[in-house]
Amino acid sequence: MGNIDLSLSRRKRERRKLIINMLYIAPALIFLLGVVIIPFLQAIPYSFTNWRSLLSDKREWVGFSNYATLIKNERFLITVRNTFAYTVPYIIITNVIGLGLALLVKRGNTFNNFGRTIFFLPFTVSTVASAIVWNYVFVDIYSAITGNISPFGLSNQVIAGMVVVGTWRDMGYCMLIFIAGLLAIPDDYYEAAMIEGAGVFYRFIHITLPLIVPAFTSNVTLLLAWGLKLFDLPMAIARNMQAAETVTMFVYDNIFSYSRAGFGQAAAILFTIVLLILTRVITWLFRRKEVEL
Amino acid sequence: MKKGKWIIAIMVLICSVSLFAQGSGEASDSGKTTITVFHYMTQNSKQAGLEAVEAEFMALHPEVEFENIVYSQGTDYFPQLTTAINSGDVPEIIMGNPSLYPELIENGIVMDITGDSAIEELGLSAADLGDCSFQGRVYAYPLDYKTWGVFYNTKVFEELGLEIPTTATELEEVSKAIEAAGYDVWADWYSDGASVDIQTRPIIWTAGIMNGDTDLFEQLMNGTPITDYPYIQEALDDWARRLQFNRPDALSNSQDQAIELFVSGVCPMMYMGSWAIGDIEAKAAGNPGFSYGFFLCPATEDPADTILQIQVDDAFMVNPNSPNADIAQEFMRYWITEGGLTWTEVSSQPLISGQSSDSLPQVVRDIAAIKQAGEYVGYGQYTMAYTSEYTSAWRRGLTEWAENIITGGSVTSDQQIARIQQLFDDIRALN
Repeated sequence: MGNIDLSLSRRKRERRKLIINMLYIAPALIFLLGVVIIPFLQAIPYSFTNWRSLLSDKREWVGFSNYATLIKNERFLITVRNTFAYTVPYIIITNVIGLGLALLVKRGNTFNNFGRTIFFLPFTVSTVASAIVWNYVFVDIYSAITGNISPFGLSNQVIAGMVVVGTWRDMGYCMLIFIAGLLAIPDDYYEAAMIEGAGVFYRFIHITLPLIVPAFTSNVTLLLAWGLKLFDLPMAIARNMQAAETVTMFVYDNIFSYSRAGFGQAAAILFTIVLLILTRVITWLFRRKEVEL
Repeated sequence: MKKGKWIIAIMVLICSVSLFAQGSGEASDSGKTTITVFHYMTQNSKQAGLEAVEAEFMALHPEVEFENIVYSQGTDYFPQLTTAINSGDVPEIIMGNPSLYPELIENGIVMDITGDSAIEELGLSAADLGDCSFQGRVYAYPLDYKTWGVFYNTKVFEELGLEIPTTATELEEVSKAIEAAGYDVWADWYSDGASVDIQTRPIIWTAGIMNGDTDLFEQLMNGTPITDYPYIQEALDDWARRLQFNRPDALSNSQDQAIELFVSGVCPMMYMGSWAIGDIEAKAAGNPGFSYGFFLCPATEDPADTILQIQVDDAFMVNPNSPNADIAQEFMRYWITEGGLTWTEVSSQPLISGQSSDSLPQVVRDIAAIKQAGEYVGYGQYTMAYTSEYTSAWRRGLTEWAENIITGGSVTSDQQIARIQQLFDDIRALN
């Protein structure tokens, strides 16, 4: 009898604990549900209709025809290519520079703290403002020195120009994540390796890199999402250039400007699924490389 | 302690729920009637003009106040407007030419103002009226009009002894003389779709009207080949003659950067729309040694082909579903009549009514004088305008053409026409 009472009261305590925990996560959960999950789920049925104007209620079920048209649509495929052409170098270069900066300023002293602030500063600038600043940099400095046309004006260089802006803006953020990862590595590991005669490069490859994989996981996942959702930068610098058109611009134009809401929704849904799968795969790949401290 | 945890958890939950509740709240604390003006006048001079007219109207109607919401037309104006409408937050006054926004008309979001006495008082031509109409009905109050052409540095022209060119060849000679004197010839800006579009209009719009092709844009959207209208290719070839004298940064320059190059004296000529006059004036105020004039761009060898082209620029529609629709309509009537003078003086835009002021820049008065003489073609004479999607495709094709010429590419104008045709065909395949 006594055991049953004890078990009941433990269960009651656990249930109460669960409720309290649920209440704590409720704000974030409500926000996520209201702003992301419910609208996303609501949008799915629209992608199977011929809904044209957002201002009209007229729509008919068309099955998978929007999706079938989409995967054969040359313009959509170009925007997919452009989006990946931006995202891949953007992720790699931003991480490499971010890590380099983190190694440079990881020790806390006045000079390094100032450096961290300077390197992080571009992240606080809006993308549109970054685009304007870099337009001047490319025209007034790059073109003046090299005699070349600004990459923002050339179809075959506009993606590279956008990678420069994206990297400049986000490298400071990556740096902070890497600094947190680097500072979490115990000095003992390096000291032991030094006693064994390991050089700087060896220590970096065999101690630093494996132990900061969680920072890579975080940075790559985030940059992947930011890269694939690229929108405001090409809107600001090359609205008319097909070579700079990204998937989000394609979605935006079809839903809002071209009165093809159902078709645009299909593109949005398809790309969200691609984004989710890619994020999951990349996270899984990095998690496999993570090492417990 | 346990009780405290519960209280904190519940308070956090209440706060999060109230966050959502706060989002839908709206009220005017002043107790006044708020008229929301949704517009895409991003130029400072036009915003100042709107505020000046609103201030006048509020002095006459102290119970009214205004909220101005501005977005860029090329990027987010219509999407933001759509979002506002879908959320039930329909503004009282919506900027736009009706033919560009047929969905607003089809869904009953703008008022049919055919026969409005204030518009009739303006005595507009059929072309002007066509620009604020859709399928024969009038939906917008027109305020002013825009045109485009060559803004030139009068001091450099005097210094080099140059005359205003009247043919395309003369314009080329003027360009060569400017280049030989060590100047960069043109301050151009092709990062914005409007800039490439206006470069081809001197030929296309005029030839379309003169040849009786008033259904030109309608036919092109219906699938008539572009090659059926040879003057479209001629327009590309004509523009290519000017593109040879462009600075390389024209491909990435914004309108503001082009104006800076022009006003600072680096480039003595700038192909621009009249909407930028206010901004040119503002920038020129910081450079007392600068003075400028305007001439229509000669695009052929016959001076008679160089005709003023106009399009109603700032036009506004009224939402009939708003409880304040009558006040909004009264404000619009005020703006296009008594408030017009204030508007033109502050914004430096030529009024569609023909009303003018001595305090306006000489360029605006010159343009107004040409229009008053009736020597112009108007976009409103065409049966239909390009939809957003065709406009976008057309401008994309023109931007590619500019890049091809400036970078010394090998694409010919007939190949580029074929490319634009492909862009048009792709749109039709989706529709």
